[in-house]
Amino acid sequence: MALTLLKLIKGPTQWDRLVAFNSFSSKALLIMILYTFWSNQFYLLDMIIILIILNLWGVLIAVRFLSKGGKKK
Amino acid sequence: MISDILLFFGLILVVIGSFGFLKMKDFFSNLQAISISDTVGLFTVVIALIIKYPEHFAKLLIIALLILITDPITSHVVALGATRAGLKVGEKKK
Repeated sequence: MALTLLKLIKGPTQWDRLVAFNSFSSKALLIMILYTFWSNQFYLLDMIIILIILNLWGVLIAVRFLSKGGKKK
Repeated sequence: MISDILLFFGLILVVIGSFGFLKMKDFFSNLQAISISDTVGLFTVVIALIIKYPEHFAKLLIIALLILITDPITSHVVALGATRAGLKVGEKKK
């Protein structure tokens, strides 16, 4: 997780940062799944389903923004 | 027993994928390393939790199917957008 955060900070292009963001949120999801079963709070599983869909949505919107020119336009 | 082995294997896969994400030279091999290892790692961890806690079978199955659907879609869309924005295969980083 710290490795992808390092890539998110120093990545050479914007696409590298986008991939690093996607991977970072995926690893946050993994830690959240393990914490759910470690602390016996099983209502967190519903929130994990919502977070997977929000991750897909955010990455799709960021790709659409970057492929139309991004910040440099 | 089997669930512990599967969970350990999934965590090892995620860590190896992160190292590959830092070490690869190209953007597209970078993307391939991180996306495949993340998908397989999360799926393996969820399967291990299904074996260990069978009373939460339905929600964990929904989570596993969503991971299997959405993670390759995001990597494919990022690769398509990067190709259209002008990144070449085999280009070295500065």
